[in-house]
Amino acid sequence: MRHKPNQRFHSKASPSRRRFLEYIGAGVGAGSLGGLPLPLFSSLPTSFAQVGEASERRAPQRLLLFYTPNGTKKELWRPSHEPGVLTDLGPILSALAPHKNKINLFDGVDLKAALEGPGGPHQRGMASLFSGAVITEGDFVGGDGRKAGWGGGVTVDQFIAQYIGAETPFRSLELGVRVVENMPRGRVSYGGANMPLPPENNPSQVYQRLFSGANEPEALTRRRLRRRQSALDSVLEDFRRLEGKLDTRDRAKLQQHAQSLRELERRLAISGSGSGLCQTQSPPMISEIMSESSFNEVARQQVDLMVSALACDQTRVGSLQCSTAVNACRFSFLEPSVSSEGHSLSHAGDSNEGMQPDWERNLTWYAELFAYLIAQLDAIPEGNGTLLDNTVVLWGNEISRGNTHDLTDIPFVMAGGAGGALRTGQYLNYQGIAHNQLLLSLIHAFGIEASTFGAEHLNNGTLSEILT
Amino acid sequence: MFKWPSLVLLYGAATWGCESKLKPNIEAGVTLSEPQQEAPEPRESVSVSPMLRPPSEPEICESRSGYVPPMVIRRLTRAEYRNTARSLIGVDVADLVGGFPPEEEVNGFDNQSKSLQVSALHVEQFLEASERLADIVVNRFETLSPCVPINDEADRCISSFIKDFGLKAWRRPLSESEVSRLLGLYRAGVEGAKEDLRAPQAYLFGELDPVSDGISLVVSALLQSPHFLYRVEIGSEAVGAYVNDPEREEGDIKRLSDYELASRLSYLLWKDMPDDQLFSAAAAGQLNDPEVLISQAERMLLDPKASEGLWSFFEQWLAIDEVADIDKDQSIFPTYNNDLNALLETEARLFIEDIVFEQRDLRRLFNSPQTFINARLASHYARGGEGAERGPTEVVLSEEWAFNVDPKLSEEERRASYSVIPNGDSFQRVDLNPQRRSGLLTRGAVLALTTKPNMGDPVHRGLYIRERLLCTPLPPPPPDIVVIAPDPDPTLTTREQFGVHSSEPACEGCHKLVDPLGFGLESFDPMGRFRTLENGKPIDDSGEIISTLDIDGTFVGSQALGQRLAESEQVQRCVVLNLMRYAHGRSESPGELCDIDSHYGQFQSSGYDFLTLLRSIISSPAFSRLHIDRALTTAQDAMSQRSGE
Repeated sequence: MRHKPNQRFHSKASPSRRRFLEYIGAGVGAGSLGGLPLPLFSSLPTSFAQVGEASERRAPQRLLLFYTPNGTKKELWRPSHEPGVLTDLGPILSALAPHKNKINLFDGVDLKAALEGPGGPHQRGMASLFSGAVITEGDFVGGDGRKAGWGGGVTVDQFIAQYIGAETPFRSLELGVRVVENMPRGRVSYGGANMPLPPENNPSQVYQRLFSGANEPEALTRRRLRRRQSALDSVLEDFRRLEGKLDTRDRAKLQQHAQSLRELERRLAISGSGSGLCQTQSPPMISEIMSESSFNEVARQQVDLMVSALACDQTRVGSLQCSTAVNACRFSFLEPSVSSEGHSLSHAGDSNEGMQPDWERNLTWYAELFAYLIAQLDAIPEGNGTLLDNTVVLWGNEISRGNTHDLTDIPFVMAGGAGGALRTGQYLNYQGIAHNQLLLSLIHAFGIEASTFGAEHLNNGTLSEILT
Repeated sequence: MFKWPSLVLLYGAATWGCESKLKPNIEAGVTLSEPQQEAPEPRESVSVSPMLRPPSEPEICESRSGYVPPMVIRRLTRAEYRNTARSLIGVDVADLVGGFPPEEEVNGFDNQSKSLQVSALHVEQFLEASERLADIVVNRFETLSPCVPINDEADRCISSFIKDFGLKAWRRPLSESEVSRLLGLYRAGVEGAKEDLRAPQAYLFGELDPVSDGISLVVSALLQSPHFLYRVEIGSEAVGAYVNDPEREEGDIKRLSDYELASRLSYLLWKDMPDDQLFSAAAAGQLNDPEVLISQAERMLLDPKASEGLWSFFEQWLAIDEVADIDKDQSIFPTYNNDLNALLETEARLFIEDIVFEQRDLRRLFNSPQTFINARLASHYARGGEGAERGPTEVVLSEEWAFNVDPKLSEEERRASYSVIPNGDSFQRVDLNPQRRSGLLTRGAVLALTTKPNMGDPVHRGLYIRERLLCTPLPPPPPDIVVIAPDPDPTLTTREQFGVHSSEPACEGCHKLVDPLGFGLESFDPMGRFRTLENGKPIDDSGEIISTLDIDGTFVGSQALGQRLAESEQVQRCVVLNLMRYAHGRSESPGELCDIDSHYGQFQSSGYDFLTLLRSIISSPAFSRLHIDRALTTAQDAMSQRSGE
């Protein structure tokens, strides 16, 4: 399987795109920004507006999942006004005010799939959040007499990547910030039931994956590609011969591996011929990527890299995961410092005057990070609009409130129009629908015909208010 | 960094609806608002798994032991990959393997086959690692190859290299067709390089040696192959089948090949590939002889690699691998700095290894009044907790460290003897005052690990005991309820603050299973130092054990708690279950009830010698045989079936 690079998207854009990405590089890791995020591209020179200039072709659609843990405080999250046109933002989301006409806020969307199955609420919430599927039974303690397993189905990013992922070197990109727990509570993306995808936590490694070799002479790239393909051909032959000797359980596992290898082969072929197109500077090295004190910096680098990956068309599908459910991470970079780690803060009683303000600052920081992400996407011109206009970002959380573990009324935020397929600028109250409808709406926004997504019995069509 | 890879999992369950996450001087107590759904039933007991009990009808075990349950092919873990690469090539590639995605943990272990999957990220890392390793092989070729590939001899030499190196990398001899395929790859590499040299841009390639190019291609392919990355088990002759047996999953039972068995043994004991001697025994077809298998195991246990390999079991089971990440809030515990973590870890390791390999009685894990410390660790403990007696100088140990003190000595003489403390960096064995400290639960590593960064936490301490030592995860949490913690009462001790759990019916069900266990360790502060007071109030370290098979009842203090655990059959059966999970890389199957009991019997009659238990597992059919799925399903069907598991 050898795909041609996406000429349609690259050919005309490349000169200005290259300059543009150099510009990104200069901004990447511009330092720890502390409190409010400073959108790096708010003063982009207008000459970059020609990126993807041509209105004669439609820019590709992209999907990004964004995850933060431990719920929120919906009373400070939702707008003060009635559902309808979004005019005002609650205190926690105030950083999103400049983007209010490009986002949707949701009340009354429940993780109904997470009300079923074994395990604790954080586990079930994580397993269902982006899949709409019920958690499996497995080997993990934490349940109701049964033991919890992994997520019970493919997540919406991987599902959509099956349709649009072949256009780019990476079918999808899973980035994490301090994802230390390698268990169901620590995974948001699944290739299928019981197939969790680990995120990459190290920005330097992400950079290597995305952009290494971008500057080398093509002859070197071609030589490496040729050699890698010879080795991979031999390895795939090993897989092929071995499969017939194994029983069905083992064969299934190896087929998954071989599939990833074929995918890698395909990507090598694409990136091999597309080298030099995209350039960014490597982010500054962070030595302790898993330490609490680096969280802010790692998060921003991962956002920058994800934006670069989308802008360079290295991928069109991604997830950005800010730590894990029950994250036990203290945001020591906030000033003044917060008294405890996020999970403990989220558990504080409502009348706890010592901890609630800290939890609100923690939540505000998540919103600022999200604003930082969409500000960057919105600063990159593409076609008649911006990269954000051609993207949809869905921000989810595995529960709605930490001190109740409520799995209803999840604080979903959506940003971007997915290339005109989604209507934004709304505050919507659905009064208790299953979030499968929201996920299915995203799938329809990508022009994919599916009648259900996730647990079939929780499906009830799409959301007409957001689909154009 | 502070993390709780598996404890936190329980914690999540424990906190559901009940836990208020108490902070000193911040909040205490829990009140329940109106439940959203029906009120939860208080839970009276936790069910102890039948796998921890003796079979109810022991006579059935005469015909029902030796079950070989199905399992999934095992991928090398990061640690196994690193060790294997080092044995294969002679270079430690820790940095390389450190970039691989971490294993998904199940049962508290990183080597559980079902969860060792491969994603797009993995295959990229395996590719890059294989290329780095291939470069190393090229540079060290003369030491790794039996010959030099020059002139007419080149192909023959490469052939023998492929056979030799391939056998080690794939842990089995290569077939002729495999050798010739890889030789073809070598030639393609050589030819490709020659073409590169003729290209106009040849100058870009630097010093390009076609032979090296061919070799590195072969090595890269060998190391990305499933035969390297997995422990491939196809089996040899069939020795039986399970058909129409409700307790046994349908399938054929095959013997493992000698090479497959060699790998099982070496990865269990060493976390590494077989050595030359083990390969020789496999080549001679001897390993299916139980006596040879055990004598190889005995030999390997004497190798230093065994203490490294087996430590992996203990550090994961007892969470000692998490000690390095302990992080205490400096504003509350100014004397705790993270350099202590390594010292506490070393103490715990020396303590555990002494019991496993020297004392050879696992009961001692819970009541041994000896430990290992060096000068720096001694000075940490010597500072004492609140109210604890301090020695006359700052590096003199308090009374708990009564090294070989004769009780008849006068007070003055006794104090003089305290100053016999270790000096220097090396760790020395010391005797403790058993009334103050005995057993693993009183080691600083466990005490500091099972508390929060900023306060004591009897819940975590209790969970540690209940999950890791008693193998009883918590019972069902109540259905969704709203918990609202009231404002704190700053005058309470940790125990008093957590005491509110037992006054709330919805909390009590869970928390009486864990809190009263943790209360038994209240004489130790969050840094692991002995104390007699907290916030000026006397320590109460009385506790209660409930819902166990054999050690229920009240107790006072850590020594009594440790003694109870040492006497418990449930605790020792929990050791058996944990070692089986680690050794087989999977959860136990209900069909293994009789086998678990048989391993326990061997363990018990040896006086709880861990190595006897290990031998019992190695000698069992489940270790040397393979269950082959007979179902005539396609791989796709199998996938969806597994999804529903």
